[in-house]
Amino acid sequence: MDFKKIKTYLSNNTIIPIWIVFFVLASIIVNGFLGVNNLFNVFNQNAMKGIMAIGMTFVIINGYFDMSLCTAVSLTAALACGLEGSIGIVPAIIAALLAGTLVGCINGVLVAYAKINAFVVTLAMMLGCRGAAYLYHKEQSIIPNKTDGGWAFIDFGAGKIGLLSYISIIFIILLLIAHYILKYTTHGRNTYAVGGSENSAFNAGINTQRVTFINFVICGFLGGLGGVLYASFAGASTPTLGWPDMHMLVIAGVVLGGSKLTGGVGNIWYTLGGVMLLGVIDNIMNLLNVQTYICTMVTGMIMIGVLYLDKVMMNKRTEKANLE
Amino acid sequence: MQSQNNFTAALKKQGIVLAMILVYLVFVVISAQFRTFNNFILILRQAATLAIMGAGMTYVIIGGNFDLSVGSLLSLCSVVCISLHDSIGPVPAMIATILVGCASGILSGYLVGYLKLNSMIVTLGMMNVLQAAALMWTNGKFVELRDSNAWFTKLGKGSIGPIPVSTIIMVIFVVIMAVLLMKTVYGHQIMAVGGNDEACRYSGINSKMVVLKSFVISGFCTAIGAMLLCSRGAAAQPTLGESYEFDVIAGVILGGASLNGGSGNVYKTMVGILILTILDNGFVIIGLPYYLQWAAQCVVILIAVYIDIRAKRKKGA
Repeated sequence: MDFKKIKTYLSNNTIIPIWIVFFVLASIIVNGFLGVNNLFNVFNQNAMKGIMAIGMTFVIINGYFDMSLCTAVSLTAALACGLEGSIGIVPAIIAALLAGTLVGCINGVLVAYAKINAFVVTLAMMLGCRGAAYLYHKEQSIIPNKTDGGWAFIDFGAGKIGLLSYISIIFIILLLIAHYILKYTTHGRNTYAVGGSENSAFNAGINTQRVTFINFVICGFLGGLGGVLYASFAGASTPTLGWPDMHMLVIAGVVLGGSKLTGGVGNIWYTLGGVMLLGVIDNIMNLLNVQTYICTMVTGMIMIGVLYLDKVMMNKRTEKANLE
Repeated sequence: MQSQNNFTAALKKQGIVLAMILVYLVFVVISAQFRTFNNFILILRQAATLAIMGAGMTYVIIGGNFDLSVGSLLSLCSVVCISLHDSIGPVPAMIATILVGCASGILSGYLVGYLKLNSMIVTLGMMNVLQAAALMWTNGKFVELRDSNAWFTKLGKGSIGPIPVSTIIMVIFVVIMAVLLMKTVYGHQIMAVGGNDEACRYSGINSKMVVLKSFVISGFCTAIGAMLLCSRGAAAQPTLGESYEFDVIAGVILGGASLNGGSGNVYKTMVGILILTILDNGFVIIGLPYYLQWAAQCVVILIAVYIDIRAKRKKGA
């Protein structure tokens, strides 16, 4: 009985068996994978991507996705680094976060209220942010001034408490907040409802437009935060940061975790699993000294493979449900 | 009065063409260098690769899917074509290139059509795989033809009279693709599958095969585009096609194809691509920083799509 329960639980959460297989295989085959230092390293490295993936999770559960993330990251990173000299580090970070939020607002207004296809809107915003980021960078990298504020900014990105970096701690806090919002607040429940069926949600009296708008703003804000943290992690910002496929990696992470691009299905821990899975794959290949080209190729194949596995497991479940 | 109504209705349908003419005229007024005949030809030459890829992408998008792998496929086809040209001769190299394009199309078409995987993530995975294949093929190096005046380069560089060969190929290609979409059974099938997959299956259309074929068409078009692009430079590098997929998709969107599938038009896609090319060319010629063209593209896409949607809604009401 209990065994059966576990089995249904695992086939509901396909990311867990996939993780177990990867983890066990990697621990056996790869030297140096199963170490506290290495595992925390993977977590710290992928925390920034994870923060952006949290925002993306909201939008994907809502049934849309956001392509503008990749260049919004370089825009906000540029603002955080570039304004730091003139207005101080805290106002610069606030300005960067506001810029990210503004991008999210524009996306939200155009998708939710003007009812333009989300792919078109966010693709256009991606181009717009790319232009703005290049304009601000003037095609050069921006390094924060070596004032107290600038140093503090860079120190923050490199700083650690024990084995966890500051950025990871922010990531964990945001995960918990996002979990709370999705699970226990009206907005979170409404998001699932709108993603599942926008018409039914509208008929049930949910302000679907506002829900969608808020989710895009959340995504924009967290994208901005990701950009600021990238800048502080790298100690600089470049116009090509995030280009061309940051948003795709983030979306892939969310989807590999088990959230559905059609909307209505998903959960913040899936996202954590998906993003970290991509991170672990990268890490394994680095440890095995695989050539970068092959590394890219294997990542691509694994993406397709995991998607296929997920599909097969899902199909089995629905077949069983139909039989019962 | 009636005829006037008909006239405005016809005009509204061709809104994107008007937009292209408008964008062109703006640059013509601003810049003397832009209005030369040579530049006009140059724009057509620049647009050839994108327009041919756009024709293929239109099919995929009409079927309700995306193909994000075309950029990497463009790189792979280019390096394959250039590096095989000297060793096995131009015609076998071109055939090999087309085979590579079709093989990639069959693979992603199988994954999307038969295994029903999400096209975005599948083609994202394919993008990584193909990019890696291109880098591995050349070891990350730049490849070029031994003889940069071989007849193969005439495809991209040559012209018949004043008109470039690549433009002629582009026009022929777009016409064939448009006819295939409008007049053949397959064209109607892909429209139907994009519109309602379920209904198609019940009416006996092999929707899996139809989707697979749309990806093969996209791969084939990309291979042709790659040949024009690499023959123009008589060289190729393994990251040549990076981010081309976004330009192509943006062109298809400007052409008014519905991203939910079911409607689209090959020649309007070409017009959409020409708008993007005119912006690209114009910004460089009038001396503005090239990166402003992305901001301009953003504005143009949003305005065009918004107008399109408003027109459609009025028709609905």
